[in-house]
Amino acid sequence: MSGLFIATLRRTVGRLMPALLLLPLPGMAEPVPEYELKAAFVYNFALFTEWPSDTAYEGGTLNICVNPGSALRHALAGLNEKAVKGRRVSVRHLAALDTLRACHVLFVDGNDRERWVQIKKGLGGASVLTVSDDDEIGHDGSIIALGVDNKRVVFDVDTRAARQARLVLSSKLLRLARTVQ
Amino acid sequence: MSAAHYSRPQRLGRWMELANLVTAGAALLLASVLLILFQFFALRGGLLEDVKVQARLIGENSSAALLFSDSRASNETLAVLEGSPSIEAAGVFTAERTLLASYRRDGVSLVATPSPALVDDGHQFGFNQLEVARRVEMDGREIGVVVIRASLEQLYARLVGYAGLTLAIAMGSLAFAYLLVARMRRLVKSAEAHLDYLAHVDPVTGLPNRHAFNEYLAIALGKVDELGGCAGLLLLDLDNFKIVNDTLGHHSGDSLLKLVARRLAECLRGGDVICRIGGDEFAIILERSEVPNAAGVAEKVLNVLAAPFDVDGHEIYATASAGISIYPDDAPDLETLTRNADTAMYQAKGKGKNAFEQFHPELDHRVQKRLSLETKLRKALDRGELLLYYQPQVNLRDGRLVGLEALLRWQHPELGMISPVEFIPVAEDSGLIVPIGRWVLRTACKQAAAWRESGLGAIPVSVNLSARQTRDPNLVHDIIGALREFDIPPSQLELEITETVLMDNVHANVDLLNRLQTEGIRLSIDDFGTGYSSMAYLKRFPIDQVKIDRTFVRDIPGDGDDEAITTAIIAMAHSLGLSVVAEGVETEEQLSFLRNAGCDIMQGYYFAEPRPAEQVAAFLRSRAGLLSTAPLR
Repeated sequence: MSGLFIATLRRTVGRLMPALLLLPLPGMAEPVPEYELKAAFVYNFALFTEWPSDTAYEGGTLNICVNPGSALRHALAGLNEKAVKGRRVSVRHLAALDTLRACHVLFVDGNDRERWVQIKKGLGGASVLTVSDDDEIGHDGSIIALGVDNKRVVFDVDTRAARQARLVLSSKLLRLARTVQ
Repeated sequence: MSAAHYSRPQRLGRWMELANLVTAGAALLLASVLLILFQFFALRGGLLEDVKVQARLIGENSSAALLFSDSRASNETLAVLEGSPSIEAAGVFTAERTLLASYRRDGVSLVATPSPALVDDGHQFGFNQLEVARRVEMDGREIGVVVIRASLEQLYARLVGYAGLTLAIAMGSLAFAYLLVARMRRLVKSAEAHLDYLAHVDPVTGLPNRHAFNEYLAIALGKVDELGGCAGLLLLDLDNFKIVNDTLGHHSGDSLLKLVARRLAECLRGGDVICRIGGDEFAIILERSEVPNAAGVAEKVLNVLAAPFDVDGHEIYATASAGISIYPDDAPDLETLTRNADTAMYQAKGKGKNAFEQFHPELDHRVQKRLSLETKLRKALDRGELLLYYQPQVNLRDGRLVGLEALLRWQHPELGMISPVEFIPVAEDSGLIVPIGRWVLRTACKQAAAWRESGLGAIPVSVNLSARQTRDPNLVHDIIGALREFDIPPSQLELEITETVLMDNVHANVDLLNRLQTEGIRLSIDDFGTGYSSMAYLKRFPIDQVKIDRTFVRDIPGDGDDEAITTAIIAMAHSLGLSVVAEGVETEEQLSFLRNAGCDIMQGYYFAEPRPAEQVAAFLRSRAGLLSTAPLR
């Protein structure tokens, strides 16, 4: 299957978009459509990912970590209280790297360029689904790399990195990826 | 039998056949309709299952596309449906029922947004389409709906094909079954016809048998009852068939029967029915027009049979005796008719064979009389109604008494004296002659003993043996027993056997006579000259005496032939060392002729008639005186 994923960005109908993505975000003032869409993508990735059975869930939550300085943090915070395979989603700010291993999904973007090497080291094959929204990081070890292509949000999948992290990504997801490495 | 006889059942059979066919056709049609209905529901169910599976597959494969709003991927997924010919359109709707992706074949409309009812029910059948809706869920949450619309056209096309096939098979089976049944019916019919043939036809002659005869006769009589007129029955019995069978074998017997049947068929008219109703018995049912000339027909038949038959190279004369009985003149029913014809036939046989007799009431009367005579005769022995008369036999030269012939008489309390001519044949036919003969022998011996006791001396007694008696294996034993019981020397007993009886079974009789002679009993041939015996046989039989038949004596002197025969018999017997007795001597002329011819002994009214024992005793006591006044001197 081709990995090209194209989602329409309906900037003009901003109110409709959350509905289209099944991601109602109540109480959000002036949401940036692109951020909302990317946050929804992150959530959907989690839906199509299988963590190893020995994965620990502290407090029973599926933790999505994000740099407190990330532009997407507000959008991601909207995922709180949603559920993935029966586990409540908890969005955490990852200020220091000591809590890195408690993450199940790690969202990184341009803010994390400097500490990316450290993060990679810290992860060291831990079962964390890394999703990058940065061209530089995107091609350097993150499992899923988001991007914009022809005004559409697209993503690429690095299956080698996923294998290292012992994560299984659903073929349904892979079918939608722009590229699968 | 005739075509008309069967026409109605045949027509009925045809109707039955048609009714059977229609019934079977209706049953098959009903079965076919049920099968087609069943097939319709099965096909529809199959289609539903099929489409549901497709919807489920599409739903599974559309979940990611729904979540990521990827119309293109979703469209690709739907494109797979091209492989299912019955699916004409499909669509993937989001949870808000906006169309994400769709698929449709050329020339058909898009699927409509599914109604909540359709989504809840899962499917909905229309007249020519099926709509299936299936929710797509992710983590227990509805994320969209897949709707597939399938056309029922292909289902209908397959159903029509199936219906055609079913009906064709039904018609084919019906035709096959019909042919099979028709063939079976034909076989059964021919088997029945064959059985009927076997049951009604005599295998030897190919003529109808007794069974068929009864049916034909019943039909003929029924026709007479219905239309009036009359019918005749001619029974025919071959006179010497038994001899042919015994001497030439059964194969020749069968050949003779075949030839007889052929001649009968040739000489009779087409309308007459000829049947073989027994071993050598044939029956001819005469048509109305021939009844007045029944005697002529009988004569014609006898004439036809009179010519010799060539049976396996032998020339056989198969004369017949015929009896005729007419319905309803002679008999009121079938049984009586047959019995009367039979009576007439036996009457003809009694008349000397190769003859016919037409039944007349007197015949029946005679038979009845004979029957009642037989009944009376059975009782006669026990009731002591039988008695013996004795007739003296006298030496022609010196007039001395040489013996007494015991003669059976029947004194019936009501009917008076019954002639032996009347009752002896009855006794012969019924077998009563055996116990009667035994009684005669014993009584004669007892009487001889009584005379001896009364001082009359040892008087020789002669007793007649019948044909039936000669075949009785106990005969010799009984004779010896009687002789011993009354202490009579065997030489004092003489047995008379008629020439006819003797010639009937020469071998057995030679043995019997030899045994009797060994015992010392004298033997005499009775009625000599009537039985066509060859002189050669006379030499073989151990006999002492020949008795000239009374028919020759009756006409002498005067009849040249009889004179010549009598003389010849006497000369011949003397040359063989046999003495000669002449019976039935009534006149002096006869006496002197016989004396001149050299006859040894005479017996007859001229000298003394048969008398009861007491009178004979008195006669014997006075015989010296009688002899002195006898005309012999």
